[in-house]
Amino acid sequence: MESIDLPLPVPLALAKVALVIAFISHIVFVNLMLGGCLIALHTHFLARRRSHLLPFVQQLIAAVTVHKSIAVVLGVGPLLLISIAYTTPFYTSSILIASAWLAVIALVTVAFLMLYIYHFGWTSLRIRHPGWHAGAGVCATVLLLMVPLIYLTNTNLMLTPAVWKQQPGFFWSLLHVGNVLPRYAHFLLASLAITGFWISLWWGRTQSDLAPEARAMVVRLGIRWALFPSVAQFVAGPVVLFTLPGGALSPLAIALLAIGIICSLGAIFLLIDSLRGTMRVKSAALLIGVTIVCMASSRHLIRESLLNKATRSLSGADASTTIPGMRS
Amino acid sequence: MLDFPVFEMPWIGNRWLIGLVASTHVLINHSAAIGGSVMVVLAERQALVTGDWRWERLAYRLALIFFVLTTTVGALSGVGIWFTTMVAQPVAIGSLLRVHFWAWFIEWFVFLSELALVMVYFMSWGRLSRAQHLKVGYAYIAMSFLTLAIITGILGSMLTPGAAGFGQGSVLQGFFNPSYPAQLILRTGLALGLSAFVCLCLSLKLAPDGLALCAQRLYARWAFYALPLVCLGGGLYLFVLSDHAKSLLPVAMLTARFAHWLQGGVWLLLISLVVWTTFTWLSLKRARVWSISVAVIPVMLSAGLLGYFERVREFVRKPYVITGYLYANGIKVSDRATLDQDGILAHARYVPQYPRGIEGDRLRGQAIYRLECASCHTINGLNGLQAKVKNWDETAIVGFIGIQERVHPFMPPFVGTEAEKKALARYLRSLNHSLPQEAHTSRGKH
Repeated sequence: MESIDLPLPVPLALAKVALVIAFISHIVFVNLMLGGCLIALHTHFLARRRSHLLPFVQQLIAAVTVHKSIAVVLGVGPLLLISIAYTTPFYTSSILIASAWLAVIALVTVAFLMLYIYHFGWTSLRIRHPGWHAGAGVCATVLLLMVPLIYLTNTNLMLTPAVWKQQPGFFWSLLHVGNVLPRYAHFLLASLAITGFWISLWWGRTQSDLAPEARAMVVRLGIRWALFPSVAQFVAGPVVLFTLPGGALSPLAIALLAIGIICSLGAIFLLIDSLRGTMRVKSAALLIGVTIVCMASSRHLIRESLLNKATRSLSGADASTTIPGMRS
Repeated sequence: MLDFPVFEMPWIGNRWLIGLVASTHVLINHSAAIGGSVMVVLAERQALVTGDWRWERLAYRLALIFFVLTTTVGALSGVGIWFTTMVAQPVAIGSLLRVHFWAWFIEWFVFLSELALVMVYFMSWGRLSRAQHLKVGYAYIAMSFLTLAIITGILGSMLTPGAAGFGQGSVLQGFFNPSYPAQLILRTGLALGLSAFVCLCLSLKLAPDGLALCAQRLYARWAFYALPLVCLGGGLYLFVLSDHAKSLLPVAMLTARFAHWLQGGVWLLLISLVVWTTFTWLSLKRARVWSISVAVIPVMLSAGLLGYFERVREFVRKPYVITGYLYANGIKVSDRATLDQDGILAHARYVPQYPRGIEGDRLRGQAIYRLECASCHTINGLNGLQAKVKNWDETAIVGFIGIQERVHPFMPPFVGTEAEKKALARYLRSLNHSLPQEAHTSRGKH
């Protein structure tokens, strides 16, 4: 008998496919939110000497306040679907790190309020109290940087039922379960790169509000933010792969990763071309889109492999410890 | 059967944790989104009708506050309800999600549309033509109301899940449950009333020169319109409650300690409605604007009524969290016989085996407390058990546990064996009195 033995409302496979799609749409906006915060702060810092960058920073922060709202609402879908498809593993890991998990709500709420201060205070607070104004932006970004650590710890812990009975807390799990920190680095680089792509495309539009020279500079800035973190992923990515628990990679997951890597290589070459003057950012973004789909799909396959492996090994060791809802 | 670890929120307890997050969400959502959208659009419409563009400036200022509130505290506390229930009531939320998956899935798209509309509405101010902008406002009102219409069905089904029982028969029967129309009318009335009072109060500070009195009258009128909805919805809700739920009203409307003051509670409600009526009537008649300190009174009053309704709605479900299906402590009604026979600890996945003896009993008792009591009680915080059993010996505690559901019909029955009942009593006793020393060292395992 299981705690939740009601039938699934949709076929499990359908829920999992929907989860991957919903997750991609959510995570792209989370990337844009976090990457936007980091790039806005960095450019704001640079703008102390290059004031012509200030209008861009102002527009970028305005965009971040939109992206953050979309990210939250698009997060409801994956939360609903993961609750259906992986009820017991996800709820168990959430309870085990409950204090940190619940802190997400407070952290994000305060971060969003700070972001609004940073955004709406641009014309008055920034002039009267520049330190407080920048402080609000820094505070929002630091708080938002903490959240992925909690999410990654949760999603790693849910794949590690062998440690559940020890009832580990957040910090232990952060450091000892799965590969939270390499994935965190991978995620941060992706956030910067995706925001870089978006900046170069959004401000590259002819109807952009910026003056032509400023627009060209912002487009180049965006391309650089897309390019350098994408190159750095070729260090972070292998670290993530090599720190995965054994048996995580199925042949299909490897194939998807390979396609993703090839596409991202193509995107990097197109970005280099764009920096040299031949604008091919749209094609590069298309390739990165394929990379994101491949990476998210392989991430799902890795989750499936690890949970199946954990269920098999626990079943072998002690039939009473199999994961409810995950019995094969 | 008991597949999840137990989370205990220190001091305030799990029930208050969910209650605080949910109340915050309901207050923001009802005042700033559902009712707030109506009030902002009303002011904007007033500008178009009268040609007095000061109304538009007021509408924008109100919209700015509501926009920030709904997209920060409102949105996050909504997600927060899932986060808190996931850790404090995993079986309840997991079961509800399975039965009402499609309602929630549709609600997600409605949320998306609502967010898109509020952003377009707020950010396109001055960019769209006034008529077009107003149409976006109407669409935003419709979407906000639709979110309420969907979630009301899910919440109502927890009290009256349908004739066939929760998870059985038609899902729509549970969704359009007997309390559905009553809740929808009541919530609509409270949302309109609360937001009208909030806007009245804010207008005193935000209205451009000379407009505050007109705004006071406009919003007082709408607060007045909301009152019949509140009375009708509240009355209907009381009417559709089951006899069992009605019997819990004295405690639901006050607390167990003050339950005998039911008449006082009823009077308090009636006085609130009289104050609501009087304030709106005076606001319409007065030739001067109120001071903020007076205008804030009906805001607190209507917010209090909304919170009060949530408290009553949550409490009259007891001893269940989903009537007839799941007890308030997350134990399924259908599992009771098995757990009574085998013992609850035998089916608790995260409780280790403890040694025999007095200390082992205490630890088993503590584990049982966490499984059966911690969803509503704390040790020494809110609804703390340490104070409740201060002068009780083990025999008295065992006696009470055996009949707790008869003494307090809002409590679920104790589930487990006689030995487990004694272990729980031993643990509760140990909260105030040190246990006797072990006569001999523990041997073997339970």
